[in-house]
Amino acid sequence: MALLEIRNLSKYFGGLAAINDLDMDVFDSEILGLIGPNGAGKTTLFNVINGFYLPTSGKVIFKGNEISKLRPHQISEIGIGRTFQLSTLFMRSTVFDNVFTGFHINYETGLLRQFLHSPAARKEEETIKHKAMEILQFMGLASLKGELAQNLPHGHQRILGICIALATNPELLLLDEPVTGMNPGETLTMIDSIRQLRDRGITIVVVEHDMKAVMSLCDRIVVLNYGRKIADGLPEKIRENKEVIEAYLGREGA
Amino acid sequence: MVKKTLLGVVGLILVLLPFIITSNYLLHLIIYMCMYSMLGMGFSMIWKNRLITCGQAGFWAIGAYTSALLVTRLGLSFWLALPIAGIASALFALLVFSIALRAGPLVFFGMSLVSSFIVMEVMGSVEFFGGWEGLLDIPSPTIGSFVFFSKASYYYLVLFLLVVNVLVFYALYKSRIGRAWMAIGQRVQLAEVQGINVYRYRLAAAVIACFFAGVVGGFYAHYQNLLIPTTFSFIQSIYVQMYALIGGLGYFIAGPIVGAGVMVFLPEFLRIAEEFQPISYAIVLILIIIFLPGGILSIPQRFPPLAGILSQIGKRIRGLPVPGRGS
Repeated sequence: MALLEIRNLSKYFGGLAAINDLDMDVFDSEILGLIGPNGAGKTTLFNVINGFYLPTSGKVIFKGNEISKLRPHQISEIGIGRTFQLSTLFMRSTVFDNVFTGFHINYETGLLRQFLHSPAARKEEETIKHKAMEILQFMGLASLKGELAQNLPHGHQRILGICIALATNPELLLLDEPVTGMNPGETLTMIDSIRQLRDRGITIVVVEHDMKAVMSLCDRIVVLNYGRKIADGLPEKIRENKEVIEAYLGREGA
Repeated sequence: MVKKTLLGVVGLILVLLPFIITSNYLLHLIIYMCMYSMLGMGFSMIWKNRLITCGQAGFWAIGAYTSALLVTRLGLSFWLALPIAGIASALFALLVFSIALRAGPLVFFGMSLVSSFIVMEVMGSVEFFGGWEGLLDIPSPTIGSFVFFSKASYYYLVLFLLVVNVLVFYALYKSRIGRAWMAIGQRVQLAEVQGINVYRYRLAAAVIACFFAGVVGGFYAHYQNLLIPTTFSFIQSIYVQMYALIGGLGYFIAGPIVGAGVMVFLPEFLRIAEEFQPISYAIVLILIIIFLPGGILSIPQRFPPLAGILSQIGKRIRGLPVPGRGS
């Protein structure tokens, strides 16, 4: 059984179909690339999975349970994390506080004890701080922990976005354009980090326009065009797929 | 260590204040400053969630009338009526804002404004609430045979309420709840994705803020011994916003206290006739927005030389080496 199943999913904005009768699966511990020309519905799909949008019809199923009607905060509780296309961070907070704040679920002491700052709550807070530092170390941002997020260079902001998402301890991570705007060196580091996340057991879906990065990173690729799936397979197969080439470059003689 | 000593000194000054300041009028102003600080802190808590409330005067009024009516009509003790005043205000906030917040921040703003108007109209129009002439002869609080009468006794009471308010807000801001509010205030979408129930946290902030506004109202009623509906007009809600803004919107506890101090004392020092007070407030507001958008407390940050001097003073107090003095 797939970790995430998408069945006959459609999302209409007025009369416009952003996602049109889409069927796809995400399997456990894979890195799935989601590509397609601009406006193909990739980010819309993320927004439906993660609960920002309700689907017009169809289902999203995570670990056997339908999740199409859950709100975003509930989606993150069941183990789906995501990042955003633009650097969406707590810009006026430090790098450390960004991740620390990102830990909202996974607390065990109740709100009342936290309000009273009971010993148990304090101890838990220390543990969470420790975990936040671990994430920063893992993603290589530990040395910048005191820096304000808004002062970071673009590449570091993208990494920080992933650090925040990791704070919810997701099983499935949706990455929206993780390497866009990065230089080749940063891209390589990022690809390496994403692979390491997969090795830790996190399933990853990545939307990306940087074809070289997608081809080298992903185990499998799904291609969307006008909200429909036009191809699904290994990177080598996708590269040669006629329909995909047409979608990106236009039909010959058109 | 330095922080604790500083807190001790401030605490001592606050406790001894009625012995230092013997002028009843000055104490009266300080009592007002404490009340307004609490109202301003409520606005700040809501603002932390990037919501603007235009109705704190209404919730202040609900507390004031609840306590006054319970004591005058039912003969309840002030000490029981005061927390009930807060609860009444919080319940009304829960009712109004649980609906308004479903529709988003703009509707929240509108509903806060409308509810403030409705409260004043109801208090004025319904005879039971005293009508437009107001509710008179509200008894002062008593403990045994001791009756609160002197300004000093009221000062201690309001100081106690302010300290409780500050401690509660401080504990909240320092906890996961405060971090969730901060997240919502900075990036709603990201907060949601991290598992924060934005609706509930916003509602909680509004209800807590209105609880304390209600408590302030309860105190106010028994301090003034009379309530007039027009006291709680729309302009009061605007003033509450100004306490927070003038002190500094980024300083959620100290900001409203400083702002309330400025707003209470400035017209007195300038000896402005009461009719012209709103004009002086307007001028202050315009000057702050143009020259100090971060509020009075942002002065050290805005003028780095001053920040340097302050940090040097701080280091001197702590006995650390000060750079540039040939050490």
